Amino acid sequence: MRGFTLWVTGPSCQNNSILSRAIEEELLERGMKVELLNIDAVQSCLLGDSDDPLVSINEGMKSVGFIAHLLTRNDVVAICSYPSPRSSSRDEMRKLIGRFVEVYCECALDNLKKQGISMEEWNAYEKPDKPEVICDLEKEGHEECAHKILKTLEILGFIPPSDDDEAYSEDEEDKIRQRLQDLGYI
Amino acid sequence: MGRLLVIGLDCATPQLVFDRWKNLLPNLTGIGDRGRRARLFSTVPPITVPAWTAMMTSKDPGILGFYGFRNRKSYEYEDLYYANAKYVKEKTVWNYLSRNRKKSLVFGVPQTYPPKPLNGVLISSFLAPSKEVEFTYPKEIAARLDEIADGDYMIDVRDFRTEDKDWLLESIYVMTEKRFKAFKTLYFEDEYDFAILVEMGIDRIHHGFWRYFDENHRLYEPNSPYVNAIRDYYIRLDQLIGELLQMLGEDDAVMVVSDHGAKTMIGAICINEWLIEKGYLVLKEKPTQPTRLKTEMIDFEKTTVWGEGGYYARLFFNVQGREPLGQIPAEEYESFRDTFIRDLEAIQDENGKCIGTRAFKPEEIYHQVNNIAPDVIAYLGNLDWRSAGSVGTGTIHMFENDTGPDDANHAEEGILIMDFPSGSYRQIQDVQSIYDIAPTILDYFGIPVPRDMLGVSMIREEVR
Repeated sequence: MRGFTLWVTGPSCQNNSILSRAIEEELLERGMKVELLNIDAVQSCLLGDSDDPLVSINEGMKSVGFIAHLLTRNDVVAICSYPSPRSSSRDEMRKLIGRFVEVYCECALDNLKKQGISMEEWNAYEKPDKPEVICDLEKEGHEECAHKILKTLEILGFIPPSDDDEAYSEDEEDKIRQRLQDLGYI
Repeated sequence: MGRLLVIGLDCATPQLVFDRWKNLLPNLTGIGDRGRRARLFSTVPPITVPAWTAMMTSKDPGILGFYGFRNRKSYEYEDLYYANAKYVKEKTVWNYLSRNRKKSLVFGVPQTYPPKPLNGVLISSFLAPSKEVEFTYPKEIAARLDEIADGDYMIDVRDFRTEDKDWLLESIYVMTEKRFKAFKTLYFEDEYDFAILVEMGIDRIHHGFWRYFDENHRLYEPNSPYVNAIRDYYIRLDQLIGELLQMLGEDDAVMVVSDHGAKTMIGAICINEWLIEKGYLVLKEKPTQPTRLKTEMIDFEKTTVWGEGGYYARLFFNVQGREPLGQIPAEEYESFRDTFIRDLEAIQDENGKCIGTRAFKPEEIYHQVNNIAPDVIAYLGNLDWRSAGSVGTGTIHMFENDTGPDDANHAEEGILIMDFPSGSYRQIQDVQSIYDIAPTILDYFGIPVPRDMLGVSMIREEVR
């Protein structure tokens, strides 16, 4: 399976992080090589010494994007959940990485306030124009959002489809029936 | 924390491992002496499917939504499906382990075909139609298995119900040797946090050879050359297990489990013949020769109940508004079922003695009842008798099985033997639940036990 980058963006880091972790676990369960690049995982080793938070965020994002690029081209799934308020910066990452899926995680202003996010930060965030997936954790819940993302990845051909066909083929069923009769189970 | 190896012995029975042959099985006995042993109470019903999946998910058959190998898909009369891995919607221990970056080797666990991806390797079980299909994950492992197993890895013995006992015995040995060799090679050539091997040989040998060693079996043959067939096979299995143990590290933990036990089968109750006699089942035309009952033979306009054979009986009601030609008024369903169960529990042996049948209503024994359960699940003579589905047998009691020789039935209690070297245990009861295995595995790896698992961990935190 080829690698790709799932870039989870939105004004609420908390929501992005929750959703990223859910997708990470789902893909791990499917036996894929996955790395999660979130602010907690990379802050200590990737951020520069600058005291200016915006400089730090931009530097950090570039570093995360570069690592995601390396992982992707080595057939690892990189899930990036890192503050990336500028649309143009995310577009640069899309160009750099190529196999790139952007998930926009919406968050209502009231919930942002509850999470301690200021109006200034809210205003600084630039929504993506054409994200592959739009999620609203509060409205849709984790499971539905994760399902939507996974289905999108399947449709785009980034991950193998989960097989919903529940039956054996006719020929297989005949063999199984005979076998179970031989074994006394039916 | 070391690795955890789970050795599954389908049908291994506590009376033989813990008592009768205890001194002949130094490795199994040693694990228990160093750690703990208990009888392991199975699912209702105690059958390979659903028992192994119940063990690996800590969910009962009702939650899982399958009640045996073959299940009703709808209330149509002939709409059945075989419960393969695609029907397993609950998470197994290796799903949780994969999520937590733990690597697993899942080898021969029933109901894992078709194989689903995981972090590790999965070799599916005897429910794979053949080796021609993709039965491993990753698929390349199939060729490796053949290579290790002297050119021909065996998923199962080919023809289990045979009178050719020499051939059957040899086949069981060949299968087991190949499977242990393949497992051992795969296990020790890579690093797996968790590994489980399920060996089916004990189940096959119990069904094929029980009459030769059990003095209480109706068909016991005192001077049979197979008198020690089962005992010797247990001894060989114990040696193979010993070889695995020798290769484990000091910190590694091991569990030996079985999904159910075995007991002498007195005979078979021809459940559909009994239903005909009692007036519950009416056939369009009664066959004169023993014939497997097919639903097209049933006159559903006159039938209220029909049954299926197997190691336990599944009874299906023909209910108005539910089945296409339903006969039992829906509002009388419960009273009908109570009356029917009383009849069922009064079934007698050929001498007129009540055999002690136990009947279960699914909603009373499961936490949920998903998909379509039988209306009644019955242990005929408390599993001393199996259920034969054939009609035209001319009798209700049969002493040779309708689908070929079979000496043993399944028993509700299997085995649990565990040794967690650095560990301490919670209070281990004489009888633990099959649902306690998955929580214990997760707990060992420090993974929080999901609250919806039915069982509890048997180890304390310091084991980790």
